[in-house]
Amino acid sequence: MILLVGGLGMRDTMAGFLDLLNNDISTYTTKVSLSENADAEKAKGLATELEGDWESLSGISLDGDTVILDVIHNGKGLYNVVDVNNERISLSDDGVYLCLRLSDRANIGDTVEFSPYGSDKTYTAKVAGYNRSIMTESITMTDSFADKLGIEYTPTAIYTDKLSSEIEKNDIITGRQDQAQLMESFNSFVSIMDTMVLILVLAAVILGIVVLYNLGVMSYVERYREFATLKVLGFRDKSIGKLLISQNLWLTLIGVIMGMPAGVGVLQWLLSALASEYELKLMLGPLTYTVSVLLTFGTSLAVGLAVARKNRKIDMVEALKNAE
Amino acid sequence: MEIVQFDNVSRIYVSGDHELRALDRVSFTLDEGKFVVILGPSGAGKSTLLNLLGGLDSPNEGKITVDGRDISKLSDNELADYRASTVGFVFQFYNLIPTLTAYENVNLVSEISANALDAKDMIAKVGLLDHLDNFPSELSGGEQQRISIARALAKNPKILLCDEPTGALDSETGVMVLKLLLDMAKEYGKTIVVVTHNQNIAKMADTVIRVKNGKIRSIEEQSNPLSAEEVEW
Repeated sequence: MILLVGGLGMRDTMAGFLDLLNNDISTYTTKVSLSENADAEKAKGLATELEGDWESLSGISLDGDTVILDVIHNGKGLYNVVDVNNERISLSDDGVYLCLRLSDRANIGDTVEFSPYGSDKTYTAKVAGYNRSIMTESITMTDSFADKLGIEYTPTAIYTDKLSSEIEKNDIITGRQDQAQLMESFNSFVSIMDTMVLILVLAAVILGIVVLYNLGVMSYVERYREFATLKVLGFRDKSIGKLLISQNLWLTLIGVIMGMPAGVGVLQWLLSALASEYELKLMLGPLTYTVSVLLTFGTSLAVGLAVARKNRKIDMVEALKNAE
Repeated sequence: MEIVQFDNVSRIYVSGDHELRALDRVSFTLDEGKFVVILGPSGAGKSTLLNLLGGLDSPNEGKITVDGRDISKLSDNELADYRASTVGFVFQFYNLIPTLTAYENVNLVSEISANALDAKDMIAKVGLLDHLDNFPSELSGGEQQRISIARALAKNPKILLCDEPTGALDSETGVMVLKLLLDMAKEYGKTIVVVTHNQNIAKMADTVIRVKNGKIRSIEEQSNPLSAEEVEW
């Protein structure tokens, strides 16, 4: 149960992450990468021309750690920022947003100090909230707030709904990437993960069968005399089998009730281990719960039936001959 | 009135080329409501006879009729139903379910017997009402055997089959168990068949069947059987 919920839940979480990326964060058609040395006004002018949003990524020092400062202009809603619940945030012009990995550095309303690399200036800004960063460890703010603080920045990427082919050549453009291509690469990664999850599920089922069958046989051998007594009293093989299977199913129910939260716990632990790289939100679909429960009960039932078949071979006379 | 009829019954065990006739063309009849003792040394075939009568085993040859029904050719399920409805067992080593309480052990048979008697009443009859919630491991040998008798009678069977019922008990407890067995059988009108090698128990029987080497040696009717207390142990 733990392996099933963990494995299938990881798949749900990754699928949810891609869904978030595709439908909530990146709704643009093309990402245009800009030269580091581009003139800021020229870059903003190009963004206006392409009717797009833009962002500027640069390195800063925060409490001695290197993080990314993400200055965003997203009036068109083509590149968005989401909160811990994956809801879009309408960025405030009065503060910065810390990614979840940095959320322990300051509470909302507190201030943080940071210094851009290559500059001896230090800026202080109020924390307006936390956001789920999909890639980098970052501090996010609007261009208006950056202007208010007097931070110098240059757009590094423009997000537009224009097709790559519609974008004319420009000396500050260093690359173009279709959002569909980006998603395609993610999807191929997810399909590899699907195979791994399938292997994990199969391994969990095989492990379940081996362990449950061995335990079932051990229990059967221990209770052989008891079953022989029931048979002598007049219980049919089928009734004894039902008794054995129903006891198994009750134990399975307890296993499911305990295994489900344990599986979620394992997944949570896995995601927290990955947290330094990805800020994934744990997601578990009803299908995962259903498949996990059905597979667990199915395995238990199949093993119970296999063990119960042994009832037919109970030798009542031999079993009851001697004292225990 | 005859309740059991063995007609040329044989039980043969084959091991490789070796053939063992545990019972060899045995014929006899038993009357309803009698106390019958099957007597014989170890290996005589008395337990085989009891197993055949109890539906735990089937004969290779011959016919066994119990209460007008031929049980020698029944299927496994039919034999299970026969055991549930017609015979009750009392074993030398009690064979109670260790994970069930005394009450649960006796009440168990209500699941398979349509005419089951009340479990609590039966435990009261064997004088163990104070031990309803005790597990077998918490009871003495004599108490376990009394629960075993209550279980056998709770099924309300026509015949009570007892395989060395006092074999694991001291003589004092053995007398008590035998007395209880007889009193209960008399009260409920049951036929009792006891298999034993103990000659003293035979003195209490209405009918004594002596078995040796798989054959019936003698069938003796006793007009004045002794009571359990009169038997010298």
